Amino acid sequence: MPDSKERRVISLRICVPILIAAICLLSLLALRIGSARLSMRQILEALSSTEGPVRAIILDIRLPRVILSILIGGCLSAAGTILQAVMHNPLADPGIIGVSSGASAVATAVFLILPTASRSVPMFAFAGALIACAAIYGMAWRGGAEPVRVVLAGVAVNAMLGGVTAFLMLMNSENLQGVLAWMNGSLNAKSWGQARVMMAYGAVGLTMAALSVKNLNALQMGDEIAQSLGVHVGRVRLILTGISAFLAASTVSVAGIIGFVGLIVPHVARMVVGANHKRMLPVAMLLGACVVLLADLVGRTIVAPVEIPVGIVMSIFGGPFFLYLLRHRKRTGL
Amino acid sequence: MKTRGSNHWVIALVCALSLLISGYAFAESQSQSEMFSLAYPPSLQEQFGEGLLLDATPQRLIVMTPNPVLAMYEMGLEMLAVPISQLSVWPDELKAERLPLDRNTVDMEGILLLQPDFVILSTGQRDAYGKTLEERGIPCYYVKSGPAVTFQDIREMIQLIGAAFGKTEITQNIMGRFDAVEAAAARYKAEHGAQTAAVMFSEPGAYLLGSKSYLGSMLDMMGYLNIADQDKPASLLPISMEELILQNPQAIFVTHTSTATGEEARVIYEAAFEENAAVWGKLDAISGNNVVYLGASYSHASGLNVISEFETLLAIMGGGALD
Repeated sequence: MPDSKERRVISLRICVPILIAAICLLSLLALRIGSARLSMRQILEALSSTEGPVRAIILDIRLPRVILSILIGGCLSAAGTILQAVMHNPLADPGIIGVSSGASAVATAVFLILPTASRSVPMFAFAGALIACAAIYGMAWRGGAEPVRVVLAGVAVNAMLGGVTAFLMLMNSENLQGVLAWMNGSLNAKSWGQARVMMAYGAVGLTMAALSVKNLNALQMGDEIAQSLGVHVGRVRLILTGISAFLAASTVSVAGIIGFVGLIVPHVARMVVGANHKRMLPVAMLLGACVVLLADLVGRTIVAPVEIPVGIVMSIFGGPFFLYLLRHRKRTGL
Repeated sequence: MKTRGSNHWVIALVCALSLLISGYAFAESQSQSEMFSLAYPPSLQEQFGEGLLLDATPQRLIVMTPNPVLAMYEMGLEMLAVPISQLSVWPDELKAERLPLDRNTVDMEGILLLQPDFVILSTGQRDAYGKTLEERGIPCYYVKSGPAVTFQDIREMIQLIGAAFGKTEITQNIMGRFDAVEAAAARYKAEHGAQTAAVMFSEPGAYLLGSKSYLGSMLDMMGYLNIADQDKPASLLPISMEELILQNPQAIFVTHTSTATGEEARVIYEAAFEENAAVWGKLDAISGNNVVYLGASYSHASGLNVISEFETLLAIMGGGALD
């Protein structure tokens, strides 16, 4: 794909190893530091033993958390990258197709109406996210789904579901703590079981995303050019949106709502390696992993032992960073 | 003779002045005794001042927060309206309109229609609702609410309200019940010594309650050392699992806002413990089955109920013998 910003971009051969090294470094740091202040000696001793609290902290709390951060960051960034190409909209993120509002409405209903089923919230949230996405597409469909119609239907469905969530919260204002903890998007107290579920989702979703690069590049050039290249625009757009919804819904079901990753990271990736998805998608995935790893590390150490959920950290730092990108919009494509 | 005459005038003048002064003083003392003074506890004085001073004892009372309701009902104070609260059940005999008066759903029209001359709100309601009422000339008094209200906060609030409304005898009676349950807690503390404890709140792994909370304050009085209290007593914290594992409390108490009973909370928590046994199982309290599951009534303060809830807690823990 021709890239007008070719001369500015960094080569994939330089970028990918740097990002992989950054992930490794951040992962080691995330395993090394946390609210429990452990010395390197304690950690090594614990790893060579078979029992004890330090071993549990490293292997059963921090390690699944690191894996989840990498996968969630990768999945959300891939979801955002796909949506921005499919919708021809630099502001598209998984929220636009109802993933966040659908998952929130269903999760809030479960927490407040069926509290004893709260352990099944991930399953319900996943279903809610996909149903909301299907509803938006259904409303936007007129023999095909024009991006503008999808965005407008998204605004309507998001507003409606937001209203349902707000109503439920209003009527249950005394017991919102569980809902708020979930909505803030947290990786605290996540198990190996959840990490395994995310690994399975991630493997499927990211593979499908990687296989979509050619279609993403075609769609990015506009519907007419894509059609002239033999792409069935309507069908491909639907499939790609489905992949994006699947990726985002899987993260929401495990960690709650983590904003800004799917919105910001694709822009940074585009700024670094250009708009060709063959380069942009893997860089966005790796960069997303770095961002969520770093955000979680900050959240669990900055006021330790109190935990700031990763979703809150992302909102605090993501907003100003997005404004920075906006000021440099020529380079970021915003 | 002339001198004697002028002396009479001076004496008469002094008498008149004395009468005037004493009369004024009497009237002043009379009006002072009629004045209504409701002090704020020291912890709220920085925010709300020393207290509320009104010309007369208010008659048309509305209470927009659950904590004072039961105590005021027991004191025989007539309330025009009390809040509909999911966590508080009012006695059927309480003759007051039930209005949706809680945090986010205050029915201002309903309140104004009742023409109150005094409204009690929670501290968090001041900006949203209290100021509107104050601007309309309706005096407002603010009390703490939610999970970060301690046993002592409730005791203090009841004492201040009782004194302000001149309900000395019944307030003393209530304070006697507070004393009795405090004594029972002190005995429990003496018998069982200090144990470390974590007080889990809401969903598993979401929050810990410190000793500056409703349930936390009761456990503090029973001698439990709360692991959420780091440098100072805490109220509600989203604390990390790592810290929980490192501190490894001897006992765990659970209260969940959405489950009416401890058994319902047990279902949720035991599923979480089983799902992530590698982590939760490291806690001695869980592997040793030293987890106490309590209903939603222990998650938020509901005023005078603190006494019966504390008694029940002591009974559950095997130290419930009251004097």
